[in-house]
Amino acid sequence: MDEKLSSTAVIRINHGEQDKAQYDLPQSYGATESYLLPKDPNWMFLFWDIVKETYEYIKDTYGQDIFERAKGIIRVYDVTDKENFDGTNANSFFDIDVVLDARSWYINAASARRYICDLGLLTPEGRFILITRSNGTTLPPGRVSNVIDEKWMMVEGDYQKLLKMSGQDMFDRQGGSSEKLQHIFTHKWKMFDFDINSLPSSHISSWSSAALVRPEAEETDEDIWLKADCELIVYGQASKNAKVMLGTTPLKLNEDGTFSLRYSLQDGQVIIPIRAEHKTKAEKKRAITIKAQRQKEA
Amino acid sequence: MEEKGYLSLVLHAHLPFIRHPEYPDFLEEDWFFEAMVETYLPLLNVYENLTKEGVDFRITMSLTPPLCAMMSDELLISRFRHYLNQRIELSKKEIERTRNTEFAEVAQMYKNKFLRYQDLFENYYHGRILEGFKKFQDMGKLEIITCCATHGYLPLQVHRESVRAQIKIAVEDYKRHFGRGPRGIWLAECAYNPGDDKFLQEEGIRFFFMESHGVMHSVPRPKYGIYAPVYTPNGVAAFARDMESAQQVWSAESGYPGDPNYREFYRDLGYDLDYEYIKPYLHSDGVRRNIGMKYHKITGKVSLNQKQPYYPSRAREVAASHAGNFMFNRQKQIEYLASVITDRKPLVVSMYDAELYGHWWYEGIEFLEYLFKKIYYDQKDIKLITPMEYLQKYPVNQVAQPSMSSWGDKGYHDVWLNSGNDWIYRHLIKAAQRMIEMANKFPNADGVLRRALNQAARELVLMQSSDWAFLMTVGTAKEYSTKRTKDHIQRFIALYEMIMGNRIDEGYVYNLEQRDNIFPQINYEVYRS
Repeated sequence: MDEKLSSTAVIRINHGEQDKAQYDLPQSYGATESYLLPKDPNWMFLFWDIVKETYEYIKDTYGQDIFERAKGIIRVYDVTDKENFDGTNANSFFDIDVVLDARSWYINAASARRYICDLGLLTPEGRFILITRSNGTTLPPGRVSNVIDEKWMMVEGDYQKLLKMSGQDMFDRQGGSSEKLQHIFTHKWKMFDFDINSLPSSHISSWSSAALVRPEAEETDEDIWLKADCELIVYGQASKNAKVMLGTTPLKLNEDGTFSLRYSLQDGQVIIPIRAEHKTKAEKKRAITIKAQRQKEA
Repeated sequence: MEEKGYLSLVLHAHLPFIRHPEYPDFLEEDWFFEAMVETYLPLLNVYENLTKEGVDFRITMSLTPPLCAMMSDELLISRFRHYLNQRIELSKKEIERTRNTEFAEVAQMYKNKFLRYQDLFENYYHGRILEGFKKFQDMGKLEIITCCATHGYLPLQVHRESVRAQIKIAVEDYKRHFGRGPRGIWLAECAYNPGDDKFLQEEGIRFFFMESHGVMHSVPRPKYGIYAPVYTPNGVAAFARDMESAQQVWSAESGYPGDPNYREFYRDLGYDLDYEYIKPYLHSDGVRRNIGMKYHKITGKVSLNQKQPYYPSRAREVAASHAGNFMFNRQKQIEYLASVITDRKPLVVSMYDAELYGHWWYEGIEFLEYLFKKIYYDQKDIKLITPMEYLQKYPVNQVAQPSMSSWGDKGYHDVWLNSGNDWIYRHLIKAAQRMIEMANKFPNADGVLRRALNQAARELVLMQSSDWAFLMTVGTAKEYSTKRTKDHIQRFIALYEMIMGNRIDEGYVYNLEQRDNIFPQINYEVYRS
């Protein structure tokens, strides 16, 4: 009864057919660059590629030991309302330590602001060396606006009724209600799967706290508010002759065999399967699976 | 007495482009055949019935470009005919096998339905199901809207040219199928990125749909909440999904589809019947799988082998009562809204995946038919309306910038951007950048170069389907979706290298044209900056 439609799907009659696209994807496209994508009101995703020539150029310019002396950072600039950001006129910025070889990073930031990220090196003297600058992205506000258009106003009491009708309660997790309909039934894909129980439990979580907090208009001196969250860092070390995979993603190890990756951690269970395999002797294997359970309560 | 408010029913019909001429038999193509028999033809059957009875109705449906491509593809249609013929053959045999048993009624139902859908498909629409939808659009009952070209997820595309192309390609395709431009669009996954409205406006699109919080979080705040559209800064109307009616249908605990009298999805004849008897109706590898004929009802929280026989007549009665309940709740909802919103009539927009009706909730089709009839005959409080009719009635709306959002889990991009699928964006964004580079480098290309450039554009939009990233996240068909993503990336890279290296292999281009044949009239120049 367990046969599912979710496998590779080819009914094997013609064994002869070879698809041209069987080989792997390029690790690099030969350009030093970075791109920034929005994820939700408080998270964005930066990925980058640094080519050998860039490493060489930086070493030639700043010293052969520069990558040992300086640390990799992402400088996250708030460029809200700055049409022409030139590296010096940001509203503010903050730095995140990164492993350059990680090639991507999830970044926590404030909602409703616009960001540009510089990937670079920070020397012990405090000098910043730019490697690549990303595109800009704006994060959504994640809450009801307190900007009111006078031509389109409603009596506040009536507006609160409308908010309630509009599903405010559903987004607002302060009441602790977990609304599961969004997960189970909005996507046809689950319908075409033959075994709904095969869905990983991590997807049966609930709206994130980021989805909506109380509208600002409701804030008074009488009340207080609190926001808190956490994230996940996966790290480890393997021998230099090992290939390490996190799920299906190959990990790039540092010179000393260490690795470190930072993830956003959402409610529910996250299963992190880490496998190591000998570079040439595939039968030599090690595997560690970490299960992280997050449950946020208000 | 005049109506107190409006209800807009919106069904999003979409499947990713799945077509494999290189294999004689391919499992995932079944998704399309199942949806044809269980959702698309049954919906048209409802529209036919209502029209015949003189019941006025309104509905809005997206028919995405990949779905339109599959619905008008000769190979898939010939395979669909085979699929339907097989079911008809089996359902006829089943009349004999179930005679004088508790399954006689359900067996008769399948035979009747399959024959009716075949009649509709062959004799009403002559094998062109899009003609059926177009007919009801031309009658003013159905508003067909388009979608991003391949259901591409717009907020995760950094190049404006790439976003514009997803819209323009879709609009051109819509014109080819329906003889005029689309007035509305379903942004894939309702994913909106402030600024994308410019491209909608440029293509003459008047409205699109959003998840509730997308409109609720507009700046400035929307006066009517989600019960009236707002105009984006570029003048396109954003309609928001009503959560109350969504929940009523799809809540896991209390939603209608869980009624014990309804058909059980997981208990299927493909597993139940004697192997030699059912084998001709399975795929060529002979593995038992669901074949779409199910004889049992949900019954209750019991194991699959404890499920009781399904009685279609009883299930139909339940569907009618659920339709009555749904209508009653909308009347109450609109009555309440009308007491708060006093300067215009409130609008409730109920949006669902089309395939949930019929495919998943088997009786959902009958539910809709009863709902249309009850709204027409039994009450005067609410009136069905399309977004376009609403905008004609209320051409003046508040201007506000809706929030970036989607209708996915958690309301933003988590489903399409997480540690399980974030690797794809490195390739998708690079491919878009390279496509723009090529379009700028080769204006007005000709001959095989033009064909290669057009094919590169097809591979790009195919890799951008949000379905692949979604499937990777939910774990359904993960291997297939990963392979599809990689295939299109690889094909794009091969084409890019051929084009830029001035060594185009015409045979390779031809092969891809045959295989990934979506958008026959695509014009790569849409990517020019």
